[in-house]
Amino acid sequence: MTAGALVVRFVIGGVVVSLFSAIGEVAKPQTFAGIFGAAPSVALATLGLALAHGDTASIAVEARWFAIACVAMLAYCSTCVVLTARMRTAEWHIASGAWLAWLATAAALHAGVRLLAGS
Amino acid sequence: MTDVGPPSHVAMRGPSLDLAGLRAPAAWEYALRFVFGGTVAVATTLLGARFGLAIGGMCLAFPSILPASLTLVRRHGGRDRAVDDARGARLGALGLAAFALVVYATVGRMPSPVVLAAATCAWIAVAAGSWFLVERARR
Repeated sequence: MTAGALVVRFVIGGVVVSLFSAIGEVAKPQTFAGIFGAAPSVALATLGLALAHGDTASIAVEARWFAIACVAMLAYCSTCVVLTARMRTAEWHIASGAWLAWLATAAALHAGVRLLAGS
Repeated sequence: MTDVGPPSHVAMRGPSLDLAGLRAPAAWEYALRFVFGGTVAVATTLLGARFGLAIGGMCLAFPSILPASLTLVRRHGGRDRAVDDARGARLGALGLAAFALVVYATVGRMPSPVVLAAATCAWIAVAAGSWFLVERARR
């Protein structure tokens, strides 16, 4: 992948994330606005560019793993709810700490699915 | 005389838009989101290229908006609103799974713009539908 292609992905990813973030800013009430915190921003940017190149077989494989990894996103959000409600530390620290929950869940899912598939 | 309305958890408020919310974050906070979103998009691409489609696909579900969003909501609206924001994101994650499944089911069978449009519609339908169900149950 060329540096130019990465710059394009950076710009498109940044724009899409900013767009969904802005929608989250204007949406009310806060629980509804929160929906946009889990918008498919990176997926739209990444899959949009991949679809433009027409590699549908690879995208189907990626989409299957993407669906599995949504459990990790659910774990991330639930960790944020619990930690934000119970801890007084900065939200950024809480969200960063919740990345560990995402990583652990994603790794466990990846290993589990690989094991079940026998590969 | 004090106006005493019903508790916020009793009356269900439908979704609405308030453009004044755009003025709450500072310019650097918008820039932070842009840089973070771009970085995650590039990292997802590089990880997929290095470690394969499985890892690349899983990275599509990496939280790219919520970390900054939680920080800013806490700063501008307080802790309770940040908790509400994270609760809403849980419902958004359900919609994210619907997005992925629709892409999986339709890619190669439909034109690319239709695939992305259908998946985005599935995301908002599942996320907003779940939100309405949860809010109705809370009443």
